[in-house]
Amino acid sequence: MTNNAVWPSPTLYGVGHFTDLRLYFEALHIAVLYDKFSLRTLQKELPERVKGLVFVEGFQKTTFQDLIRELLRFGYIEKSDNLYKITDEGQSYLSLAATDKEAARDELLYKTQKVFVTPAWFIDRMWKLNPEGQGQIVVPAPIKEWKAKSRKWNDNKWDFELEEVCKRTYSRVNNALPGSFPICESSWISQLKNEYERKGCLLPPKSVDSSDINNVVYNPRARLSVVMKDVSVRSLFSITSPNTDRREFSNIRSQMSHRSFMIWCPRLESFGLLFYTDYKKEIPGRLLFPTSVYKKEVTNTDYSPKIFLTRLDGDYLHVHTPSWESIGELFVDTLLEVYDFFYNKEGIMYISLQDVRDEMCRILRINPTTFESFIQITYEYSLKRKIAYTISLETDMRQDMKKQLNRRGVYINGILNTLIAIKPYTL
Amino acid sequence: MNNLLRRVQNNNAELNNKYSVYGFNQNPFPVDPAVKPLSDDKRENGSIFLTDLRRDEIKEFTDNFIGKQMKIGFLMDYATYRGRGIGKTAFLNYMKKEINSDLGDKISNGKEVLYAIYVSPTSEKKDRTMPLIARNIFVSMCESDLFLTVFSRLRAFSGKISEQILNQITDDYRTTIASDKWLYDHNVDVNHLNSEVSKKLQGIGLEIQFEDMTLFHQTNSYAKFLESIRLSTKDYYWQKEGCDYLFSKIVRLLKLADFTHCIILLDEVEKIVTYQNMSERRSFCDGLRNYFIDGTSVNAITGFFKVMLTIHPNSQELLMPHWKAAGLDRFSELGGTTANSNTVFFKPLNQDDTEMTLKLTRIYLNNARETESDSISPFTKNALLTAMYHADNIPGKFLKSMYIAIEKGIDKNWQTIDVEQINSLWESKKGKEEVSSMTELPETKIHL
Repeated sequence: MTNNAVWPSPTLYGVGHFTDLRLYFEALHIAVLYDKFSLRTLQKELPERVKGLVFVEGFQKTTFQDLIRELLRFGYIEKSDNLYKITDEGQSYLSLAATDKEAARDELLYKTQKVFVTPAWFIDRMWKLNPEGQGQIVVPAPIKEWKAKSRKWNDNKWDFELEEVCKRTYSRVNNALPGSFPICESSWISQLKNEYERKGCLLPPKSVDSSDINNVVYNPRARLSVVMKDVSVRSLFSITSPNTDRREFSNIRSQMSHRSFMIWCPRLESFGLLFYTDYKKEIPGRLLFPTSVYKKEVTNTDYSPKIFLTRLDGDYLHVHTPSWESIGELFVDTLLEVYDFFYNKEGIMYISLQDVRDEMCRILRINPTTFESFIQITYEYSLKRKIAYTISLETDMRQDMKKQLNRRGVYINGILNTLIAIKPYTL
Repeated sequence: MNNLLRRVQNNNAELNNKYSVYGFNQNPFPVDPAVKPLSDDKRENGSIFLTDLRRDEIKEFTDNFIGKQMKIGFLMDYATYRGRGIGKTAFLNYMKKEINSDLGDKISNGKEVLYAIYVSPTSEKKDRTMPLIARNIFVSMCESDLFLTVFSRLRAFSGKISEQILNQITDDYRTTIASDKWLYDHNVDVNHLNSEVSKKLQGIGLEIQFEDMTLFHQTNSYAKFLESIRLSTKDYYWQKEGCDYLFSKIVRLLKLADFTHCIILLDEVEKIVTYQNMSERRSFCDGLRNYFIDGTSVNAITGFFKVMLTIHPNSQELLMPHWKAAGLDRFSELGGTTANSNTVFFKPLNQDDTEMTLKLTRIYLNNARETESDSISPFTKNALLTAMYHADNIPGKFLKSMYIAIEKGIDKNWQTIDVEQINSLWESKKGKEEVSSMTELPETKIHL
């Protein structure tokens, strides 16, 4: 590797506006059913098929176009007489998905890496930004207690209130997780100010009646929130390396936008490469950390190597997939600690299982799938009295959790569980 | 000695003064950094106020509130995210004292005769309707010297006291012009004077029959006056007639005493707004409009009372829809682009202004010293700046930590209180604090 080595340029820019990887599978199924299909077929059929899925973001017009574009680049479909038809490669992916889900996921990750280059680069960047915090990064959002009053669209004045909120947000993030937002405070705030003022000079969205601009108002919280994400993503995931200040891509188009960032987080999480949450009460914003690490070849069975995700220095990505035998005991101990933490804080016996999941994944650097299988084992252990605790898992919701319906759930035996209570039990 | 007769020993304060090691006669800082306006302790009653600290706010107050025909204004607390103790109450009490010291002569450049009333809502949840808020205002008026001043002015302007005697009146009205005996001793015909005052009061609908003073009968006309205007504080009475009484009769009385305006500094409006339900909030806003802007009361017509509401962004949010629905935003905007003209924005201290921290400390230290000095001993400059940093630039928090530092310094024989000692206070405090949103999250247990 030379010092001037750069990542290969992506062959496709702009990731499609969807995050559920099952859409590829469903689209290819439609392709098999119809022999040849059009964009309209996809628009008609796909929403019906994914209706049953727990949470799929609303389809936008471009979602279907993006999906077709990506399937074409992956080589799973090809154009034929203005229509599309499945290729042999697409067929073999479908049969792989039916028999070996793990292998099918790896296959999709391989294709994604080849076309977008983002997966390997993104994880590498996280580790570079905060090596001591194991790649833990926060993309801040305004502190929750800020109740902003709506302002006129053109009122883009950067005042004391906004500056104060930014300072509080910055210190909150760095107090909770030191090093997780490695950007200089003053430079960050100055960028926020510029961007906030710039946004006020733009025209309102088309959906808003802007015949009289003086009647158009906006929520400063929403605007500052977008500005914070924009500016932070641009700084953290720029094309220049945070260590060397050298460009990591030869092409400026590889610059990551806030929109791409929001899509890549769930996609990379589906591949088990990272974990992210927007619901950690101590942190205003999105917390994300890798559940994978670059290493030379390792013999430890707690890692699944992905040799096609190679860094510029030749190390390749190892996804942390520990076995129950290896960390089961640690998992149970940590579960009790985390439960106690929330119990002492909230004083309620039934704690949000999603909150517990997020914290467990952070402390143990595991992905949600591993958490789900391990919590199931722990639950069975409690039923069989193999541990000195009784665990109760509930599907009900506390009043204050209703707002989080869109939050990724915890599935145990295929059932969405939302609350957990743990009590000591004498064996 | 029988326990029945036991009393606290009167120790010699000088001998037992543990603070003398630092050259103080008491702990220079308040134990509770909250202003108690009625307390005798200068550290607590708001007497120690560093005007330099709030120069901008004082200017905004004077420009927006005194110089204009503004009827409803706001004091917006921009530091609620950092906690309490920013100094709003101290500020309001300072403004009250400033205005009342010369009845607003200096602050209005001689154009107005003003009196300021500080009102703090009770924690009673029922006190959230306009009539009971009016009662609160009236009780605060009674607790202040407003009616003493009114009575004294009515006498002074009656034309029955000669210029020569008027010149002998001291600032203590109670023992001079308001005292029947003092006037009698100065050969003033008290009965004639009272009858003149009584006639004027009759003119505005207040019937007060003063007793006649004779050689054998000493009277206290001021007590009689006060008794006559004091109302029962029972809810029922105030709900029925309270608003009319305060906003019409009392206004007439104050105008009779030649006041041009009375300023009501209503602190902690969130105590009222938070407990109100939707219809109460609406009716509160309607009440404000009716009694302060365009109702039929004397106050609404003449704009006599000026009210300053202390709010913070949270209560602003709660009030906003009702404020607009009541049409109050046309008269006094609650936030928004034109709010600058009727709002005083209250901010935390400027972090970079180190001199201000030193000044604030000195003013408290000097209050506990025999002779004033510029020294900040036993503290070092860096210790003070560190304490201010830990206190998030909130004066209240800063003063509390200074109080603890002095107490701990005496216990532990600290000769000098430096950064290390200050940091130790905050570390031990952190340990005791519950897990809050500001705490660091637990370490990860797996290293990939």
